[in-house]
Parts: sequence; C-alpha cells; structure tokens
Amino acid sequence: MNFRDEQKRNVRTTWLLSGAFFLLLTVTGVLLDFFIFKGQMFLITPAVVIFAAGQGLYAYYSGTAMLLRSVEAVPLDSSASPKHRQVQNILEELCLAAGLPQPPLYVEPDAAINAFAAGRDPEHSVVCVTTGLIDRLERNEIAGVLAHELAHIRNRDVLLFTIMAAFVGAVGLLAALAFRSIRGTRVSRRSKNSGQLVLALILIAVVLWLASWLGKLLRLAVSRTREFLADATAVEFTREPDGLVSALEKIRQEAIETEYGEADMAHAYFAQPHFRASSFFASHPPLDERIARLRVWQPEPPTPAAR
Amino acid sequence: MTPVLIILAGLVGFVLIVGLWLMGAYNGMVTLRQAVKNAWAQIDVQLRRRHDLIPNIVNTVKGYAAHEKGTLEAVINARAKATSVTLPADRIKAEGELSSALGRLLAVSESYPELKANQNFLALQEELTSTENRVAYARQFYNDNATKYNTGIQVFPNVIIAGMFGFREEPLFEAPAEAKEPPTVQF
Repeated sequence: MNFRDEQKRNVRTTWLLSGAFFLLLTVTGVLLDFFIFKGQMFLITPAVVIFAAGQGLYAYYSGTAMLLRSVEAVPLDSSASPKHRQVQNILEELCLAAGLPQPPLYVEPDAAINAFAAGRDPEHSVVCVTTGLIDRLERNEIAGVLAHELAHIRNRDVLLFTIMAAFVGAVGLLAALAFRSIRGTRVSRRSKNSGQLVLALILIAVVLWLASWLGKLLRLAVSRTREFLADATAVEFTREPDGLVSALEKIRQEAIETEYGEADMAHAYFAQPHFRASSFFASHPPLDERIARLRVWQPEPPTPAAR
Repeated sequence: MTPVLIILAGLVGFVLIVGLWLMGAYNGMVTLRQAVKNAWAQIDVQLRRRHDLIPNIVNTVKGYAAHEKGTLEAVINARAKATSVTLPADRIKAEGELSSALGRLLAVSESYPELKANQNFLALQEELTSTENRVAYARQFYNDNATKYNTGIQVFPNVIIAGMFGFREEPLFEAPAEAKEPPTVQF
C-alpha cells in the first residue's frame, strides 16, 4: 500500500507550503505596516486580507456553470455511442470505490486527451473530459484519468486552490497599495534624509516584487504537490497504477496543444501538455516524474472482478 | 482557595474531560460502524444489478450459441441460487459461483464471431464488465471502511470502552477460492 505513504508525504508538503504562504503574507504585511502605512498601522493588512477572503468566497461559491460554458462543454450523452456509455459506467464504478456522490459528466470539444474537475465540494462537483479522451483511451486508461479527477474532488483541491489564489491576491493587493503610498510620499524635500528615503523606497519595492514572485512560486509548488497526491489517490481507488501510467504515456507521446490553455484553467486540467524547460513555473509536475512515481507501485492482488 | 475546593475543582474538571472524551470516542465508533453498514448495503445493490442483467445476456447468447446449453444452464442455475439463499455465508458462496459461471459463458462466447459482432451482445458485455467492476469496487469500499472501523475500535484508548458498548470487529471480504482461478472452458 505504498500509495498511502505517497499520500502522507504530499499532505505534509501541502501543510509546509501553506505555512510558508501564511508566513509570507504575515511578513509582507508587517513590514509594510511598519514602513509604509505608518499612520494606519495594523489596520490595512487585516482589511486587505478580509477583502481577499471575500473575493475568494465569491469565487468559491460561484459554481461551475460559467466555467463549463467557457470551454463549450456539454453534458455527456451516454446513448451517443458505446464508448460514451462506457465512460459513464467507469465514472459510476469509481464513485463506488471512492464513496463519493456521482458528479455530472461533461464533454469538451478538444482533440487532446485531457480532463478536469471543478466544484466547491463533492456534492456540487462536475467532471469534464475531452472528446480526444473518449476517442483515444482504453477502458483502464479512462479509469485512471477519471480516478485522478475524483481524487481532486475528494481531496478538496478546489477549496485549497481558491485559498491560495486569495493569498496571492492579498499579497498583490498589499503591494499595489504600498506602491501607491510610496508614490504619494514627497521625496523632493531638500534634506539630507532624501537620499536615504529614496533608498528605503527602492528596497521596499524590491521586497514587494520578491514577495509577489514568491507567492506565485509557492502557489505553483502547492499545485504540483496536489497533482502527485491526486495520482496517489487515484491508485487508492483503482488499486493498480497501470491505467493511469498508460494514459500519461499516451499524452506524453502526442503532446497536442490544448485549445484552451488559459493560465487560470491550466492548473485544473489533468495534464499540462505544454512542455516547459523549468519545472518551477509549471502547475503540473513533468509527465516523466508522474509516471516514475506511479511505476514504483505494483498492483495489489485484485478484489474479484473482470477489468 | 481552600485545599478542599481545589481538590473538588480538580475532580470536576477530570470527570468533565473523561466525559467529553467518552462522548467523542463513542460517537466516532458509531460513525465508523454506520459507514461499514452502508458499504455492505451498497454491495447488495450491485449484486442485484448483476442478477437483473443475466436474463438478457442468456437470451442473446442463446440466439447464436444454442449448443452451449451446459454453460447457459449453469448461469441460469447459479443466478437462481444466488437470488434465493439468505445466509451471508451462503450468499457469498453463491455469488462466487455465479461469477465463475458468467466467466465461463463469456469465455465460450469468444468462439462465436457472429455473437461477438452483435451490437446488443457487445453492449451487454460492457454492462456485465461494468457490473463486475462495481461489485468489486463496492467490496473494496466495504473492506476499506471495515478496516477503518476495526482499527478504530482497537486503538488505545478506544479499545477500553469498545467491548462494553458492543463494538465488535467486522469481517473483511475475502475473494472466494473459485474466483481466483481462471474459468475453464469445456467443449
């Protein structure tokens, strides 16, 4: 049951990264409160956090309809073809393994093999697959991908990503407010302190720039960790990694560009087909590493079933 | 505060803490046990789904492979037995026999190309595969919940009160011996 150790490891990493996030926000807020918002100390940062939290809550509760429309997804019709029926069956089977309520299935017109899950909690989630996935994957591969998406739903990754986005938004908002405050400071005084003042302001600008970069990197690191966790949880559902490995290998081989590659959506997809040189900036871990981690586990002796 | 009051306060605090723990532990074990019951019921649902599929499959195969009377009758008899027995041990055995009979039927169908090309049969085959998977996943889910529950009533300190409140270990679902062997085809 090595996938359980992998799950524990990724949950630990998530906690560590979340702690780093919180630290980043706190340090940035405190520094700014001391050096920039002098008159309104300890008032601005909480206000910004509350505002960002409000934005986050709005995004969290706004539902999936808009998202589905934006990728032109339609509900899956299981009578459209035997393959469609099969995909519907597979989802129902996996919901039994996962103990999750069954989310509605949608289909997105796209030749690439991909899928995503969305929704604020298991009762209000949807799963969307591409037409490419339906046409090109075998039964056990489809099972691997759908298990991965159900894993995201069970692990509440949408909630986590919304919180991350709120954090990043808060840091960004603080930075913007601080810059405006800096611009408003009169530097044209002819005093011996003006030089030091300019230096301090430049320093603070650098710190803010670093902070927002760090926030983005942390967010991507969390995203990658949750992808590994979703892979491990998918294996918990199917008790064999071969289907998922096979699907990932097919995607790696073909690497067709996704039609809808907006940065916002990228992290929610099953795999990132664009290959980037540096893995720091990818929201998904490299396919090679995902496959390598999965290959470590041998399938368990099967609970009686035909696959 | 006099020493008597301090001791009294300490005693009350201790009783409160123990009481809270008791409540939490008991409720936790109840929740785990209910999950096990629910998972067990779910297996039943999938097994019944399988029973409902079989008449269709038998009729479709009969149309193309009437010679295979023995194999077809084995399936029909196994299904009848599975739907009639009531004791859990008997049911597990009967369902295992049904799985084997179905496996043999599907293996035999491989030698009838007309049957394999029949859309109806293919759809039924997919439904059967799906149903077998659902039964397996339902059992897996049950095993997972039973394991959580068994662990939950055996860890310290829950183990102290588990027995006196009637929380007993639940059996895990084992694969019956026949299901582990590949079905043999007899011509």
